[in-house]
Amino acid sequence: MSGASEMPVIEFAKVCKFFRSHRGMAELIPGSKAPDHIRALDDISFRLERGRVLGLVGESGSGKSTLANVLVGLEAPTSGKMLFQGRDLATFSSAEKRAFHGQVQMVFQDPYASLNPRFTIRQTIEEPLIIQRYPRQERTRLVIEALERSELRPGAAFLDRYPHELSGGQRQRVAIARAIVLGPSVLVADEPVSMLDVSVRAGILRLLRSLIDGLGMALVFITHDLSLIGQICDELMILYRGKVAEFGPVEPILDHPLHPYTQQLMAAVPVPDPRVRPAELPAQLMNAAGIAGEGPRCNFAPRCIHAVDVCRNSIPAPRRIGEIEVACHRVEQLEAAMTKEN
Amino acid sequence: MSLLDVRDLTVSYRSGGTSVQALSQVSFSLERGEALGVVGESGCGKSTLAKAILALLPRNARIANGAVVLDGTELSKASAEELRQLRWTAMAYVTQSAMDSLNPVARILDQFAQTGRAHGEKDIRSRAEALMRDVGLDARWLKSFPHELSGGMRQRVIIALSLLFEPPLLIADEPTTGLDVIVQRQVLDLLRRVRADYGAGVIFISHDIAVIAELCSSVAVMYGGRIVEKGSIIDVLEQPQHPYTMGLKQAFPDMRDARRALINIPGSPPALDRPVESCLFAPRCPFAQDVCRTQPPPLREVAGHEVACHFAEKAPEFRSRAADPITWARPE
Repeated sequence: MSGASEMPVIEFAKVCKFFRSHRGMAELIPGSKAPDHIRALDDISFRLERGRVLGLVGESGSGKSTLANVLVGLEAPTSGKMLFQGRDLATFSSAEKRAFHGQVQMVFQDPYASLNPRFTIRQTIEEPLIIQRYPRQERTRLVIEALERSELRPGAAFLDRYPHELSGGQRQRVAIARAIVLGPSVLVADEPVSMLDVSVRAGILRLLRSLIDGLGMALVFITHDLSLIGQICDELMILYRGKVAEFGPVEPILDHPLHPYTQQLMAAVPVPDPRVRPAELPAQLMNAAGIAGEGPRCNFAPRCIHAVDVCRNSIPAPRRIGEIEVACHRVEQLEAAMTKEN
Repeated sequence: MSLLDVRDLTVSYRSGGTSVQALSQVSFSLERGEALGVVGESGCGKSTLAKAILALLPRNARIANGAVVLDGTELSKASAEELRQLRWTAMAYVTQSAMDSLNPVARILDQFAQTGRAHGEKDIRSRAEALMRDVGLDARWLKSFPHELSGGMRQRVIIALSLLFEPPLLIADEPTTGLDVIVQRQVLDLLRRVRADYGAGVIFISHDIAVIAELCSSVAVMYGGRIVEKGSIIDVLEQPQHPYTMGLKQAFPDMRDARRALINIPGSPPALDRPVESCLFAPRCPFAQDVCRTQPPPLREVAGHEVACHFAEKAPEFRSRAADPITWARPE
């Protein structure tokens, strides 16, 4: 990889993914013109480098799972390109595709569901090595190495055990060992700690971070829990209905979110302090929750307390404020108003 | 008289040849209008506690000892018919993933009607409409099927249903787990309003101390089927006396200090299939001494709340050490 460190390992260039819609609920809403397709991802561009952790945050329906599926090659973009180490995935030969699948691995949310209960730990972790045609004698060594990197030591002691003999935290470590056994360059972790006990979450997050730093991988960390972002991520992308609302380094966004949606998301998170009485969220945010609608506008406008005509009539182009990219027509105005207030 | 009295409740499950003591000598009382949080991790007995109170334990469970008394009626001795009459009217249960507990082939209004009929109420339409409005839903959704509603809307329907007879006791088990942040906020705001408007005694069960901090006036922390600490929510969260509570608090993220290093409690929850001759938390406790490994600590009152720790008097010192992740780090 000498000299290639500048090249992002993953690049999304104007990726769109549309699905045909079955109309469904929209038909029930009088007067609504339901779109005949759902824009699950709408013009998404970003680069991800080795050693970096990108946090991906959004509600259900925001497109974060679709983004993960495109990234691991389970879905092809409707338009735009997904580049892996600088090359368009769509142009890969089947041998290259297989190598790519070994290079991009997933860790799932529920280690009780993602591990086959009838497989021993060895069988679970060895499977990707068999698919990628590693010789038998090398496989055991690699399985033990992956277990120990995942802090299950001594690794050999876990080989013949079954998932039900392990705690939730240990199972998630097995899932991580399976994901790293091929020495991938990218991990995608979808809510990797939300099913785990609070007391072991920090250990899993620290493990993921140290693997990223130690093995030079990149990580996409998908979560709905904003309070975990600061623990592990370098960059943060907030998705809203298939579009990037806000994207940039974690710290400035957490310190001072710019997009009204990010602001509302952060205000909604409960804090472990009984003296804090949370402010109720604006009614708008609740009411329009189910309505999709069509037409050129800011996707968030129906729920936004700051929306004005321009928000309802045109799509906001992403703009840069410092290090942050934010898709809001009014961000400069709102920021200026806020500075005046203080 | 308290609304609910739970005394020395001990519940065991039989599975295969072994017996697991899921709850051991749990005692507390709940007043009308009080909101008690029950906090703990998987296997701590918090859901068993809810099911034992509501007499919903599965067949392989047995109440080995103790009693549950609701408003003077001993539920643990009530007949099936007595319990049927008490459910929904005297006590309601919002289960974990309650949004999946609606009947998928019945319209929402019919589900209100069925529940009403079971208790001899024929016309509940106007009541159902009022309840829907109370939980922030338009009454037109009564004509819908559950699949036409989002997860958060279904959760609110369940809460509305649970209020149909304004039961004096409401138990909610992880009522917001798995919901999106903004939907969770909506449900939390609703539960806080319900608590204030209906004056019911509420037990909220959750692993999420932020949710408990927001909704509850008092809290019981459970570990290994036992209450290890209990008191007012402010006392327990601000001045925890039990090392497990200290650990949970330090393991829990806080939006307002997003970069704070979280601690990891080493080890795993205890196995409950053998007699207990120690503090169950001792193997994971950074402050454990010999006595912790040979004698179970009784629940006793120290500095204004109850705690089961041999060294509760040293809590101020432990608290400052517990804030440092190094205290909890353990070479594997």
